[in-house]
Amino acid sequence: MNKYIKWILGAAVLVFVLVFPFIVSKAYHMHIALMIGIHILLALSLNLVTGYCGQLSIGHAAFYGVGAYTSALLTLTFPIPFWVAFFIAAIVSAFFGLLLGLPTLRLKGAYLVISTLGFGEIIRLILLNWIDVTRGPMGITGIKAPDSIFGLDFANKTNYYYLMVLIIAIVLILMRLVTNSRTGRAWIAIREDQLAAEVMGIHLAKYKLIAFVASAFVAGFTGSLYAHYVRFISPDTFVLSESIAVVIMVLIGGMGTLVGPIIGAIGITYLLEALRDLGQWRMVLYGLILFFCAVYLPKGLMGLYNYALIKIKSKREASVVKANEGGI
Amino acid sequence: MNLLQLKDLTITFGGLTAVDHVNFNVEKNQIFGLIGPNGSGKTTIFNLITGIYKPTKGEVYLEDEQVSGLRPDQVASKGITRTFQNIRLFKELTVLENVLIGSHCMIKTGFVDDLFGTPKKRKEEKLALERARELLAFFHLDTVENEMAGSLPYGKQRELEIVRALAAQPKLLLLDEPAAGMNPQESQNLMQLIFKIRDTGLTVLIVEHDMKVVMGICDRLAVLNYGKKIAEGTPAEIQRNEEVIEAYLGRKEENNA
Amino acid sequence: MFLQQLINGLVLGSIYTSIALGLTMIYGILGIINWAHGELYMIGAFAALYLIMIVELPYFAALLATVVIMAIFGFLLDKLVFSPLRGKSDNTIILGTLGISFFLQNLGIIIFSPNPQGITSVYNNMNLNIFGVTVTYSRMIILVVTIVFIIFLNWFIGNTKTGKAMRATSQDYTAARLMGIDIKFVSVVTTIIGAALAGIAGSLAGPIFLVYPTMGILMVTKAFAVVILGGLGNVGGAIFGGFILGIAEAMAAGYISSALKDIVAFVILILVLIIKPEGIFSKYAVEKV
Repeated sequence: MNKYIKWILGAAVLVFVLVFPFIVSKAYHMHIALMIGIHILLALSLNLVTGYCGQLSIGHAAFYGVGAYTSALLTLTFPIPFWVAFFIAAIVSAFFGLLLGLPTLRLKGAYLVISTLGFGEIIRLILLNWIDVTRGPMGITGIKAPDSIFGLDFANKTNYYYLMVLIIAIVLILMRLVTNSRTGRAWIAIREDQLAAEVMGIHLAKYKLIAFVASAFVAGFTGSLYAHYVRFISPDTFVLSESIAVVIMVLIGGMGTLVGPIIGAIGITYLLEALRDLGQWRMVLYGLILFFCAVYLPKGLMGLYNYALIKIKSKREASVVKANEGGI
Repeated sequence: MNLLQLKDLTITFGGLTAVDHVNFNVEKNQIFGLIGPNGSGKTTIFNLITGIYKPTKGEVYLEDEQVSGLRPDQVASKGITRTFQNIRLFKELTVLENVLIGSHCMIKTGFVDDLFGTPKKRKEEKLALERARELLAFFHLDTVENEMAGSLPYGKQRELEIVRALAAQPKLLLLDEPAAGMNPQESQNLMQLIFKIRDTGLTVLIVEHDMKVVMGICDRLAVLNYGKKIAEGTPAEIQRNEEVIEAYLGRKEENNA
Repeated sequence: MFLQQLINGLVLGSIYTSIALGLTMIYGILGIINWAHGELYMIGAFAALYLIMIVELPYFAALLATVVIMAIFGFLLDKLVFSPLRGKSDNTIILGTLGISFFLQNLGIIIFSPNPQGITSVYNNMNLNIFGVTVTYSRMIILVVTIVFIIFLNWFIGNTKTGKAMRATSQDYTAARLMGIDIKFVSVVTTIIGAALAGIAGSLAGPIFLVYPTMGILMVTKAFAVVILGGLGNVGGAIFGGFILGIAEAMAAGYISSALKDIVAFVILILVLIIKPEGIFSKYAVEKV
């Protein structure tokens, strides 16, 4: 059953994704698609450090923000093309990942979470108060769209969309490679049982740092993508509720899988937009969703799916056994 | 030739000396047993050897190289791996995944290889998978390689933990009460397993309470009581040792009182 | 000046201690990291606000009524939030209570509006003179009520059957169950005590500091700093830490700058996390293998 269905499903999704801009009529829907893309990248990046490596981080918006501001400021202050600023933003953000990872190596549980919270808040406060550089609450306007290559104008939403799809595809491929490797297994081992992982030869500090840095790197260039798409950024975007939204996406989709965060990102971003009229009630809903996920869906929707698969498989095996016994 | 040497190994926690100037050597290819009443410091010694604790005094040597003071992951890559008293398998991962993680030290890829899927990675991963499957087959666990480790019966879980520890191709294998909770048949199987392991060239240091197993497989024993070594010798010698008998029987009398 | 700040510090410390006590007990006895604890403080404050400003109850009657309201809340919190989360991984528990915290905060913003409101109290204007230092009655009440509560709590934990059960559970959850201790009952009692303490702190602090739906976040972060300083689960540590933080903040505000007041908690937190994450009073640094 599985292999064929997976291929068909995958192909269908691919076709849909590629054809999407032509199906869509309203610019608003394109915008949602692009924001979904941004959130997919954010969720995938958080997934590395929290989903695979098990280090719960609720300050992820910090890396997103650092990336956005770095990219915006670079392109506005120096004649640096977007394509370079994009990478520099990622590298700067990765460095911040190191800043968070290093002091928190020995921390677990609540201690770790508080530290990530504190880190996120500190970055937010810096973005808000370092007015000379970041223009504080007024934000940065007039950010340029990416310079065109091959004559493609990236102020155009459709072109930006395909750029985003390409980037997501590359990220997915790389993530699949790294999670199905010695590094990925080391992360999972750390998540499942840190001490056991250590006595098996896994250098905790090294792998935790790699997770933080990789996570921040991706979030960093996602920030750059965001900044050059909406072309205006302010500290309001990079707040705790955004970090929590990303956590919810990873949690509800399924930590430690690649498909999970994607589903979560799509679902939550869509939900947020659909419920835009509800205003403050959206936040109330966040809280409830987070709670119910924690209690009933700790492995997310993917976890539910896998559980269902196992149940179906064992039911099948049971009926095969029964059939054989009947035959005898 | 001495594979493992404990020299004056001591550790104190607060006011309590859990391990008190313990000295013994384990020769290559030996099956060496560490026994003693509960709380005598046996698991603590394991923790000291594997780097989980740092000794307050004294050292641990592996093939004349000091390993005490190293991080646990460094100790593992030097060639010492272990199982735990209360089974620390990755219960939510499959049997195969557990063994693959166990072989972490043996796989030679770096982060860059892993990220970009270099030919080196493909080769190493293939090798690792083959070795893992071979190991599982050797212990008759290959049929369940895709089962969740936590779903295996208790005896099989204990075996899997041993297999996982072997995946790192260690020189010295530390077994912490591997027979706990086993029925006589399972203990018999375990003993055969350990002999098989020794036959492949490994050295085994085992902490165990089940005296049938201990006397049945160990070449040599060291007996601990209140953190101190009170006797060392062959199983026959230990069984006749007065102090050992008193340590065990003395304890028994306390319990009956 | 010193005396003035010392007294301010003790008052602040009382509030921090009350909140930290509940937090540390809930962790120590139930194993639950209650991220929503700050919201209990907030609810207590709003309860007092409502009772004093709208129902127009006299101050102390309102305080008593608040205790009752907090007890009900505590009961609900235990049944609806802690019970389902019990036994799950630490990360899951943190996420669950974080969700509830978010839920309550934003519900509060909708119901009460985000604007800070004040509680008028005659005690705000009545002054007391101690060794030449002027202190409002309101502040003294905070200190006195907190100390009374601490003494009561100490007696309760040390001398009642339930208190003993709580102590046993905090030392070894499984053994306690095996001994026949009714964990559900212990859970409810612990949560109610924690909620009452936090709520009272809120209602006491209301007249002095203002009341607003997000007042809990800053408090719970500081409370965590206190709890980590004293050691997660350590009651004496929470009391010690709470007063230390209060005094440190007051001194910083008095001698350096009041803008720096909030940073003190963060600095302490960072120092503790770097130097001795288990807290000053913890004996165990090592995980049992």
